[in-house]
Amino acid sequence: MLIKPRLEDHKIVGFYLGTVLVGLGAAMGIPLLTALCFREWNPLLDYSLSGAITLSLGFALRLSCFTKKEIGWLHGLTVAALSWLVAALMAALPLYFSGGFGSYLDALFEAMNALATAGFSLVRDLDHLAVAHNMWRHLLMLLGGQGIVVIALSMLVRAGAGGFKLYAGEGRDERILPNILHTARFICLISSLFLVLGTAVLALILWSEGLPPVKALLHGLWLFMAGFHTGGFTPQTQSILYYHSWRLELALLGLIILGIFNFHLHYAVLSGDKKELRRNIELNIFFLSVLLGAFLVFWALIQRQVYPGLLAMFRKGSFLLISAHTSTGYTTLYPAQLFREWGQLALLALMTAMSLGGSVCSTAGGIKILRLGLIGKALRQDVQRLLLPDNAVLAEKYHHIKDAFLNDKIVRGAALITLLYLAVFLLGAVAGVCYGYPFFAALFESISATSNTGLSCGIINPALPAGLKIIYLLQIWAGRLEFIAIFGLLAYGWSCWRGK
Amino acid sequence: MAKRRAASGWRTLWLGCTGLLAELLYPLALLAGVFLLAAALTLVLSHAH
Repeated sequence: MLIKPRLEDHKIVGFYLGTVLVGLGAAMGIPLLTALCFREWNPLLDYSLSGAITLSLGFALRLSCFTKKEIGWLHGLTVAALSWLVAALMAALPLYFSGGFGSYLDALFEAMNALATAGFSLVRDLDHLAVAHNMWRHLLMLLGGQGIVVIALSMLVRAGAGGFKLYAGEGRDERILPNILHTARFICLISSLFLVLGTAVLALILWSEGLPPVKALLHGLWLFMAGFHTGGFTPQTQSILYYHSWRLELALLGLIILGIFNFHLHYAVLSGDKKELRRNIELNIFFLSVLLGAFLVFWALIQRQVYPGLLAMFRKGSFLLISAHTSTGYTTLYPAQLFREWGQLALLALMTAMSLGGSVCSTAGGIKILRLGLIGKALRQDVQRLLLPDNAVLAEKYHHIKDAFLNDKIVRGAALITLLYLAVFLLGAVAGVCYGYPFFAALFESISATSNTGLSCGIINPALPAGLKIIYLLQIWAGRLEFIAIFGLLAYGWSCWRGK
Repeated sequence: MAKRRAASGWRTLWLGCTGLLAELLYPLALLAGVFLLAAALTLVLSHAH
């Protein structure tokens, strides 16, 4: 029998949702201070008003929904799914007030893209956006990349057994340290360390390339926030092409590769286990996949003679492939160029790279390479079983931080998520075709949205029909949460409606 | 006690710094190798093609 959630259950969801909103409202203080520093009075008003609304709503929910009941799995999933939606609705407020977007839907699309680290942008005039708004867009990528619930957990919630249920709801299911709060704080610590180092390196490169010191520092900080969290926002319409700097491209490549490392892997390596870099199944498959992808992209570009020199071709091809594979979405060419000049083979390689994505428990999107590795190992085991006698016992091992044996439960989980991703890729493409776009372009955009990459072949722009904007927005949301939290939210809604 | 704590602190710092260096250098070196291999393979095969 389906049990109808009681008032206490709604209170749990409301309390944690309020906690996330309080965290988001407090985060609005950063662009507010930026606006104050740069004497941007209109943005100052935008963030004061939005911050007041978000904090009031958050505190109202926390006070009215306070409960001592322990959080359950369904609550955790519901909170995670709802938090991302409500946080995007609130984060969109200052962007909408800025006047830089055609409608509230466009601002919401931008906020969801930032939080989910996707990277599609619908700003009308990005190159002249206020510093405070750029700070907010990139800060949202940092908050989303870390996981807004993880941040709220580490800052505002006391240690408790329920923490892991919220953490897992965000699409992260690996504890790095036994206590989930320590895990969340470790993730924040690692990111803070890289924030300081990465910003310094990027700012120095940009300064040496001729940007004024303050602009170099700001751009360095924003590129770090978006790059390390595999988001892909930039403060310029031309993305990384604007800078024309091979040194910046190289530094960003290193940064985004670090961003797709599993936080568990960071912990292992920084604690002294450097061999893990060589043995980890995710990294090994990632580099193998990059080798195949690079070969296909280079082959396509050579055949089509897109660039006059080999060096330019390798530089553009390598950067875009890594950007796609890590689900970052930085680009050094125009969207129309990608679709018209690169040809279908290169696009196919990029689409495969985007679909696979980065590591689990990292800031990257996509199916995740660990799942691909597990399915591949299961396939090999099944083929071996056919070749061996019926009574033979087969055990397949894989190495991910520690040696583990493959079992049906793990493979089933990996296969289920992979299938869901593939289904959503296809559904999004069908939606694009229904709106009159060519199938190949629609599939590219759909994969890019669901895997939270943000590379575009030109379909996503401010003139996109509202219906398709909503579809892509839902794909980005579902892809970031890896679907399970969405099912949790649907199950919660269903039990509210049909339960007894 | 204080000496032991200081030694442990230095060890953590050393492990962190060398780990960070390994995290930065290993993927970049491997990536360079992978791209060089892919480029060489493409050039050889396209020439033969």
